[in-house]
Amino acid sequence: MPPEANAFLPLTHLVYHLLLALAEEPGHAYALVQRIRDNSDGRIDPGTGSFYSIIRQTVDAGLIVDAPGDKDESRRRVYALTPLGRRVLEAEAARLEAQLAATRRSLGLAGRRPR
Amino acid sequence: MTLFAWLFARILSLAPPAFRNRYADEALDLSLARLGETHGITRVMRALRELVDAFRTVHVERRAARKVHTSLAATLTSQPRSLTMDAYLRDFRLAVRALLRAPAFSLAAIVTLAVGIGSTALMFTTVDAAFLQPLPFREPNRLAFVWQVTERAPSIRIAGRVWRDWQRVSSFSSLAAIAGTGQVTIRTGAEPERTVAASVSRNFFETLGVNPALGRGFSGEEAQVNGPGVVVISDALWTRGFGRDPGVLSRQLLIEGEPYPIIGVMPAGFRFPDEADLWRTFERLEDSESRTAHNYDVIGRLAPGATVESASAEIATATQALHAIDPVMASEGYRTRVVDLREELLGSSGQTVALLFGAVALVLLIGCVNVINLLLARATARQSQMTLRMAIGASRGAIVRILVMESLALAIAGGLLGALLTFWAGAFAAKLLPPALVTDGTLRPGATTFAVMGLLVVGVAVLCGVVSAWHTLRAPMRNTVASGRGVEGEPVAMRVLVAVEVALAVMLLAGAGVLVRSLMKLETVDLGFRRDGAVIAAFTLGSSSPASPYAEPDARARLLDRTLEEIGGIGGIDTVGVTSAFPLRSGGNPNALLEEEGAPPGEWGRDPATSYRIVGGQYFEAMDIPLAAGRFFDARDREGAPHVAIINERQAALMGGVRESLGRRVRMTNIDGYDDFATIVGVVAEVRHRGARSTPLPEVFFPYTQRPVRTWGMTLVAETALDAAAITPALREAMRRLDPEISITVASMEATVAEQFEPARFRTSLLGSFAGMATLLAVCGVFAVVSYAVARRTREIGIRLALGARTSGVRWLVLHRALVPVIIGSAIGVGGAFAGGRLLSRLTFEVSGSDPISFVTAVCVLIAAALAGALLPAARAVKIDPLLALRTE
Repeated sequence: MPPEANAFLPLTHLVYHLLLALAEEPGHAYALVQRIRDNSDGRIDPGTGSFYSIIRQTVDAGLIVDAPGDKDESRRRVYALTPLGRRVLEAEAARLEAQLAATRRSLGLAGRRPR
Repeated sequence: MTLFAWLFARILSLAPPAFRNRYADEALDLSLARLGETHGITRVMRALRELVDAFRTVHVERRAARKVHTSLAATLTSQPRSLTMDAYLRDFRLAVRALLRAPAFSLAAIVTLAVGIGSTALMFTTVDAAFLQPLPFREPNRLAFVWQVTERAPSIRIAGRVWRDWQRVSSFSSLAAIAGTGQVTIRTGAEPERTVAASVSRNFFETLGVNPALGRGFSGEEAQVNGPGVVVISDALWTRGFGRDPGVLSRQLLIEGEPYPIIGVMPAGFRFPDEADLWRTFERLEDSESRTAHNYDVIGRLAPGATVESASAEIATATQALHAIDPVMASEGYRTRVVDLREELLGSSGQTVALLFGAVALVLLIGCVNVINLLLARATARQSQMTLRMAIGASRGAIVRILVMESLALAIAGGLLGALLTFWAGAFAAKLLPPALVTDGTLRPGATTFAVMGLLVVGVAVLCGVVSAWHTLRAPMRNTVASGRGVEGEPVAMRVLVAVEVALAVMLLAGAGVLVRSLMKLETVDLGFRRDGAVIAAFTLGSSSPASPYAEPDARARLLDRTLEEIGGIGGIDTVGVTSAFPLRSGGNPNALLEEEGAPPGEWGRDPATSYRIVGGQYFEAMDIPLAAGRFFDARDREGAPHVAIINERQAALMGGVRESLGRRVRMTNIDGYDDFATIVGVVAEVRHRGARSTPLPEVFFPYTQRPVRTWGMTLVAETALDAAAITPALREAMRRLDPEISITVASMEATVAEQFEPARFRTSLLGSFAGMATLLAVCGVFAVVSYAVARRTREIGIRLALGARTSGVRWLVLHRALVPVIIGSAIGVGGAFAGGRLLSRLTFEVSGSDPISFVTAVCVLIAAALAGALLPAARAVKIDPLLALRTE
């Protein structure tokens, strides 16, 4: 039985951003760090060790897979999102959206969406 | 960054194999790539962050490896949290609270550390400016000076012709020349102003790699003989004289009454050489073809691939080739020397800075020793508490952590308090370094200084904490628990520490003593001319331009005649004279060979070459330079009369003696066309022209009445009992009557002489105050340890007294115990001072770096001070009431 996506929620910032970065296209570590930084306006800039710790955890959990990269650069692996990973990201996005909607209702901000 | 790579790899190798084997290599690559995107201080911060992060990763991965059974999903959702960080913070808070409960102890420790850390940071700003910060030029480490040298003269300037010949040397991509700097009179507003002008070659800015911020440098046409005169000004002058007018490039600057179009403004902070305010090119003036007219400083940019060594070799070969075609140059026999720009600019300041930094580090070390002593005293007093903690299950690690946290809290407080001292960092750097190295940026302590302070705080905390923890853990635990009291006397560690701090203090005191003795000798050295009772006034007489009112020799001579007459007529002035090269100020570089009539060229090859000065009026009388033989210049030596000269004793010695040189005929070629021989009519005593440390130069004097040579800068010397300030208005008024365009700078002889001792005075007082602090700290240390020991041995002393010991015996017991580490420390300190003496020797004057008088004095002072520190507790010991002491049992 495939693991239920909801079991992974809520995701930490870093895992969320890692999955988000991979949602566009597969990439190697350097590109991922760059994308994470760009997607978060520079607010999330993980240390290299922490970044690989997250990679190890998500690979072990089956959210992403690593594949040896092109032959030219021996040590660079390319990472890609698994179908499970994509479902988890979607579930997290849905959860966040629901949370956001609830917050808006409580604060009376409904309809005033930022452009 | 290889150190970083090594550390990063070492840290990650501690991670569990599952992580390490898969990701460690890749992580190192990524980390290095990301580090490569940053520069300077951000790079250092990033590297530190990466290392800390790597540690955390190892921690997280190890914990994860232990918990393989827990759900993977659970690890992903738990926020990264460091439990240990909380524990550390809790320990830190506990430590701060414990310290607040012992305010006297804490304050003593904090102030000691503040002085140590603060002064170290203060000196570090200077070290940073001297050795670490880049000079304000492009790729400054590719720049080098080129000098000619002899055994005795390390930096002889280069003839213009030789500089032009050297242009072919391929080790230099560009080779510029500096004719020098001098005071000129400029006018931007109503009043004329004197400022520093530099005379440089066309490629000067290009060689240094600094372009004007506004406008341009010199063009080819402007660097041609008789080309148009133009000027590049400094940012400071642009601000001061032109209110930062953007249209300044269409304006002119009046220099010596002559208008110069402004073609460029240099960037702010660029004042090289000598705080220059404006730059002109000397290449538009006709230059001598002689290869022995030593008129230029030469500075080159190394070509890609060239090194100082390869350039030295190539310049030497090129110079040998010139010797082959120029017998006069060959007769000088000078060799060449290429020296790195920073080394040249630093000169002996580098050693001063290194020495003082070493000294201040010793003060910090002594401070640490005192704090360790305080911590030990506290730890021993808390021995039972610690033992109890361990008995009820506290780990050794926890005990160490408490002690390290306490010293960390002390070090942080000390560091913050010490940071106040860095407020003076800029003033220190400015006083210790040559102006070329003190740019606007170096006058403030930068990020590096504060990073170093941070490291010092951590270092001090670890040093103090670990030493005291080590001692606490080693102490015999069972005894203390059993008796409820500590062991008798002071711990051995404390006595060792006293010896260490006494040794460090003796080193500093001995060093300070050597510098004080050297300064005393320096200040009493006979300069050969008066030190007070005169006023000097510097001014510039015209310029090289044909339009200058004093370009004609006659006009110069007439103005000087009238000046001497006017100034001599001022009430209160006794004698007055004028010179082209005032000692201590200018004319320190030997000019050329003095040629004697009838002697073959080989005979003139003297080392060093002779300096010429143009003098007039009663110059020697006003300077109080005695006559050794013959006569001074007088009214007979007019234009049209046979030319005469006066030489000094040093020159006479080269010519075979004082009496023997009278009446002989000499000349110096290449000086403004005055090539005829002049008869030596007098010999005067020698002066230390380049200051107290220098050896006298061979000199020849010519009267301006016969040879009004175009030496632009002139200095008047007026003998007077009046104060410089009192006479200045009269001097200015007299000059204004003669020519309102000439501005003068007036100074007293006393201040001018004192100025040259300023650097030596400053470094001596600095080292002296460091030594003073060290001694004070050492005495405090001795006092604390002896008081502590007496307090601990109250019972023992009481028993001795009860059993009939004499008070003198008890006092001796205490003093003897106190003095043993002091004497051992002194001996070690003397050894250390001998080792440091070699560095000191380069800064001293006629005193050896290992001067026995200073060493003996230092040891005596310290032993006496230590004895004083031990006397009070010893006196307290003999007053112990035996009954009271026994009752404490």
